[in-house]
Amino acid sequence: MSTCPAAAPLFSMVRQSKLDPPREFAEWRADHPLQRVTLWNGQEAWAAVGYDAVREVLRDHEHFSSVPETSGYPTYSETDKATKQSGLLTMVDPPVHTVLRKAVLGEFIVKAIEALRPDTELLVDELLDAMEQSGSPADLVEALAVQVPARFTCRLLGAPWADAELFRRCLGTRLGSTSGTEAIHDAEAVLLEYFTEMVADRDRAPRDDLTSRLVVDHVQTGELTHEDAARLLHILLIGGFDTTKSMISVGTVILLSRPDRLAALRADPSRWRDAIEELLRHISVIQVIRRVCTADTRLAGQDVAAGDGVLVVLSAANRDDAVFDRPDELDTENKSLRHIAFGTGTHQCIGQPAARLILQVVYPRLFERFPNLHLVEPAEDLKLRADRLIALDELMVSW
Amino acid sequence: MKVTADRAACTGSGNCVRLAPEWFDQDEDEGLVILTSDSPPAEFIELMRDVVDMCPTRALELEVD
Repeated sequence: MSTCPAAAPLFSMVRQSKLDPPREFAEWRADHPLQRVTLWNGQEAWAAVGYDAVREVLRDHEHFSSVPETSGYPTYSETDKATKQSGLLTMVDPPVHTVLRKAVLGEFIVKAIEALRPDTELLVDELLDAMEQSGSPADLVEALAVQVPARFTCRLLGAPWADAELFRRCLGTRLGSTSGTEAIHDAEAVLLEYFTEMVADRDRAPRDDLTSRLVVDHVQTGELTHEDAARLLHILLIGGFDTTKSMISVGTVILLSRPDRLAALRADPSRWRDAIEELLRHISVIQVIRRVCTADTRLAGQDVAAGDGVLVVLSAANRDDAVFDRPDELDTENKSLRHIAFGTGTHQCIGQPAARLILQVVYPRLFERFPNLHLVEPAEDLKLRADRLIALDELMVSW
Repeated sequence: MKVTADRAACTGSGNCVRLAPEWFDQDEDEGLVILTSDSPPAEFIELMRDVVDMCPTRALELEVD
């Protein structure tokens, strides 16, 4: 141990190995599951990199707020600025959060999502048909990974199929690597206007869909405003889009790099459920979420003060060797019961049953349809982005 | 072994329903936890420990005889 306190190390998302979180997270965790770090802008904050510390922060909304306007709320990189205003649901604390979450929770219960399985199988099969017809090679991101969540969201919210294209386009801008702040705001405005119109339409003429139930049960009763409802729909779309897109594309890359595992899964499709949990753990598609301390507390042996920002590193927690054996290996036989790829605490991903359903439909069907599927360029040449989200903008495959 | 659920603390994640559908369900209106049986047989103790531990809002408790 050094006697002179070293400057807090820089927090960076830059990876040494494309499919693994930055190595320093594991190094910090050995001594400090809650590590003092310097952020890109020179400010200091905490990085929770141990499984227990991560769970503790996320389960303690009394001390750790999700509201970005709170003084000390951290930003993890220079690009982490533009999209704060869209975070209804994710960027509020209880009790407001509880009211908003409950307004749509009934739509996301395990049974309700399971009822969407036949429609999900149909929409995936249609996309695979189209991909097969256009012929090899194809960009799997464009042909499948963005289309599935766009269409699934249409089905879930009750929007026409044709509007999947609008979702895809706006979200492509919103989360694109090259989009400027103005373009991102414009894309958000288009989506909000779209959902505002959808809410007004269901207010006039309710149908049998999520949006109508939200309007009839929670807006017409005066509990939520039209704007609340529109912003809720917006965040449901956003929350499920790039996460699912990345799981489909990056999961495919990983599975193709492990032909032995893939063969075992194809021989016994009942293994897919556990394998998908392991992929969720291993990829940890949302690397980091943010909290800010609102009242002095003690956590993982450290004094955390009100106003301290906390970067909660899910990808590090999911590689904690105190919880997972050989955490950097992909073990599709292992039941990753304890991963927290969907977060934990009151904000735990509301859409997780939908994500699981989609992946359980997509992977087996993709590899069944294209038994010889392979990457056009080697995995090490892929342009994988690893910022807050893990993302692939293009994935050329042939068969 | 006895399991109890605090519906006021439940956030409706559905973890318990997914991991142990024999004992947990969600009501269709609110999406919150329902115990379909509060006394799982002793051989499921490890599963129950995991389910209780993984509840995102610590809404489940396990009492072991």
